[in-house]
Amino acid sequence: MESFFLGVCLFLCLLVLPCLYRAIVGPTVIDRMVAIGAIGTKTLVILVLMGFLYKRIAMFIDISMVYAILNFISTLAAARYFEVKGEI
Amino acid sequence: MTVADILTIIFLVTGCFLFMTGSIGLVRFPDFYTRMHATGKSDTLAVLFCLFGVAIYHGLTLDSIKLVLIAVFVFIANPTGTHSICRAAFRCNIKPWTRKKGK
Amino acid sequence: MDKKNATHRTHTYSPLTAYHPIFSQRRIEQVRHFALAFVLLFLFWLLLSGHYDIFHISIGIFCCLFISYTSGDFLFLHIGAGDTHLIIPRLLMYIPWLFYQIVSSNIHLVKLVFSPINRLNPRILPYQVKLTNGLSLVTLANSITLTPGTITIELEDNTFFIHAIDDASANDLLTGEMENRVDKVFLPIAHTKKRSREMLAAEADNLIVKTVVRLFTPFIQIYALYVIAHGHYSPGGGFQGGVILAAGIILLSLAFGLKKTLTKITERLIVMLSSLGVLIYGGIGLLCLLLGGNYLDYKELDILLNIGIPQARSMGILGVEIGVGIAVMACMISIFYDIATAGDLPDHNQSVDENIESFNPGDSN
Repeated sequence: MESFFLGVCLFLCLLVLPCLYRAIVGPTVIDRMVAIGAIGTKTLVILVLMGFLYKRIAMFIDISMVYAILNFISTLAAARYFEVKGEI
Repeated sequence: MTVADILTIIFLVTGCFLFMTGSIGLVRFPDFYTRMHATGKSDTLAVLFCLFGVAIYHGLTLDSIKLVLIAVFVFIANPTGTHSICRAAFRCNIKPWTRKKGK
Repeated sequence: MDKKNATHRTHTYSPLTAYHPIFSQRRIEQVRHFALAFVLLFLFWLLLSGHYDIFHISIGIFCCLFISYTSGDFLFLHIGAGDTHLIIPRLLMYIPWLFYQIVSSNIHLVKLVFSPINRLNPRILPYQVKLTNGLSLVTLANSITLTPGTITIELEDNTFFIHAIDDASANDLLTGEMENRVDKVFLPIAHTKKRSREMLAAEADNLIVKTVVRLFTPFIQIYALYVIAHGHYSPGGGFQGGVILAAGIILLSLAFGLKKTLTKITERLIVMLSSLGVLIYGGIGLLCLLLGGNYLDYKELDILLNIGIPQARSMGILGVEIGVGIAVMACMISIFYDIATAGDLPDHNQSVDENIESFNPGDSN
């Protein structure tokens, strides 16, 4: 099972690449924000799986919970910023 | 291989597949809003699947309840984030892409 | 307010309430909100904690009392505490259907992703609903965002502006099945129509984000306190917990505007809190020094507490964590205020006036 988890981790890391492409190319800033958000969601799952690999699941779950909260806040902050600014 | 293991594998593979569609959609779709469709929906479900799968593997402990809590958080937070960033884009007058007539 | 509640909620009426102002409807409502918030938060704490000895549980009770006093009201703006038990079972009945919809929408999306771009036919359409309660509107909006190819872009009064990715998704939504189901979920609180209309008017701007943030904030704060209190078992501690606490406040000011946050959490309070945090930290350290040990040598605290050296050490660490947590929280919020107003905060003895707009990025550029 461990090797399966490792495989999933690696696969998710690979999936970061398309998002990174969008984050670099993305025509507008807001596209980049979305791409970063998508990377954050993947990271959340990777963190949980890492917990199983390192046998310290309780610790990594706490970290990934904080990560979820921060991801949410960063999305809201970006949205708020652009909304008040009124242009991109 | 127990039943729990097989379930975990099914859930995780489904989750990974959904992550993959999300990422491909993020690259392929033509404009911001359609990209939001790709990430906003499939990522949420993918996280749910992955976390449930891991929770099943871990068995019924406090940690797997925490995993479910994260899943619930993502389930509520992700659409809200999607909505708020789409709204910001809408207010910034980003025009939605429309299909060319006659094709 | 009292009169209105009396007409809408006869079930909380008892002869006692008619005579004494202490037992007015509003007061009873407040107490119920407080109690229910406390129960919910304490359950959440128990799930997080995993340490069920008297020490940790008493810390938990204290934290939950504090948070339900400060932000417990956030949970019950659109529904009263008396209605919660009616809503939750219906909501649980709704979720499997929603889940089925989400899965089917994802299958649809997978097909779209792997088909030519010309299959897409995105457009923005208005969609009028007859729901009145804020919570039901938010539920519907988030359900729409999660399901068949549609994203809620804007919510004005009762009109949703929806971005649909293709024809099938748009037609699916316009059948109105989802709206009926959401309406059924929130049927028990349909009688509070007038009250919720007032609230909608107050929140017209950004209803969805505000409601969700309001639901999350108490739980985020409890989580932060858990991180502080369990610093010696988990990766957390004072610094991390302080940052999460600050993140909760920042989340609030993102949703409700900086001006409102500044009136509740003034700069003066922040400065006082940050000094208090440093005072707690330094005070414990100096206390150890006075008792004859080194700086922050917790085992000397045993002379005062008389509970055995390991316990004294644990208490000392907890005290330091709390001090650090408060200081870090205050500093983070202060930094946030400074960045958000581009360093242009008003003096603390002068009231917050009109010229700070919440988030004025024009200045910071």
